[in-house]
Amino acid sequence: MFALGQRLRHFADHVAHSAGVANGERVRRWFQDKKAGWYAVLEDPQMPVTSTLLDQAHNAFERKLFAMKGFHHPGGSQQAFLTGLAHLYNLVPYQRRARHAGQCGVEVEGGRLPTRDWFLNLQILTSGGFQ
Amino acid sequence: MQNPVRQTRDNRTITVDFQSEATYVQLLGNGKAFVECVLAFVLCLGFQLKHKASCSGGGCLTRHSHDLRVRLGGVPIWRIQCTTCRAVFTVLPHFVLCYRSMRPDVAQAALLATHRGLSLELCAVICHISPMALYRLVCALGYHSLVTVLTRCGLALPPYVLADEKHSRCLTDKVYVPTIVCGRVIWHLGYTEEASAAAFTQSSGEFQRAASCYEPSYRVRGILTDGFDSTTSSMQTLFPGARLGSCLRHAINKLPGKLAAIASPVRKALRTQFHTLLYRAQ
Repeated sequence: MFALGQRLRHFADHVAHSAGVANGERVRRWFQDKKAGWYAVLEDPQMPVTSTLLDQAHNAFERKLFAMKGFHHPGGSQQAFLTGLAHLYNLVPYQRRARHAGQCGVEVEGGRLPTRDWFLNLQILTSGGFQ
Repeated sequence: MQNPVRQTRDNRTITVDFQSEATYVQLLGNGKAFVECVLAFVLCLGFQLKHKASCSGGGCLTRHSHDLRVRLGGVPIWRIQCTTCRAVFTVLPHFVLCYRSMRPDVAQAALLATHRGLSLELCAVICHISPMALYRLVCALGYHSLVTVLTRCGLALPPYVLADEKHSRCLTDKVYVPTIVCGRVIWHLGYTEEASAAAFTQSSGEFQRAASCYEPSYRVRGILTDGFDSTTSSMQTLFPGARLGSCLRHAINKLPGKLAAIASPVRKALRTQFHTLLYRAQ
């Protein structure tokens, strides 16, 4: 990890050699801008390395966000609609061919659910009278 | 004449699983058994009832009053009361949805279909409900905070998060959905009409406020972003002590864009070499 800066410099030199000086200089400047963020990732082993799981969540919402088009009105509840979808994303179990088949996101992350029935869980967890 | 300020009441509705509708009807005739069943369910869940702040505990529950849910064929809905703090809890049986006339099995099928990618219109067709009823049902769930629901499941507030935004459209307007994720759980899904740092700060601030309310000492230690300025600035504003990292996959994907006027095989080879470099650095 401590050799990252040196490796990036060598790589920029390699780019300049194989793809031209202009490309090498552009890559070098880009490395200067970004390397602090990469250092932060590589220095802390608990830090996520890629945003793949977030991209998966966004992909899952693609179709649902499309559905928002038809329900947009001045007094609409876009924020509530999205939060409701997020509850479903967290609590609906994955399908049987999925990696964590039968479990929902909350269970995969180590959370406990009140019952085995996801919809009953949704009703219980969104009840106002429990804490 | 000035109207007196109305005091908002806390929502103390609880959903209780009575196994079947017949059991519920049977229990209605026996107040003691009804309260015992509710208590047993609450105890097996491991949740506490939301009593008033002044409640010293040690009290018991008693049946309070009831009403009939006319749109569901006159199902009686009972309330129970804590004898110490007088907090009243509405007991919804599992086969009744809060403020909805549709049956839970219909709602469950429709929500599952929409979650798995079917449009609201098609879900409504296969489940024989109106698209707006389904939309309102999703919205009703969305009035409950994600932080509240997730912490009720025993999840600790995340020390490391992924933050990003997604753009979408609402009719002709371009809108943005700032998102905060930890692992496979979404902790915040916001909605803004601008991609500015201020708008993202306001949206993601809801997560920060809810988390701080739950645990005042809560601090985010690390945040991974794709490097988008508004997201990075909003995260710096909301979580000043957190380390900001940049996604390595985005870096690998962006490298070819920095290389102009070179042959594709050279660009691909450099991308592969850069991937190896970052992979070895881990």
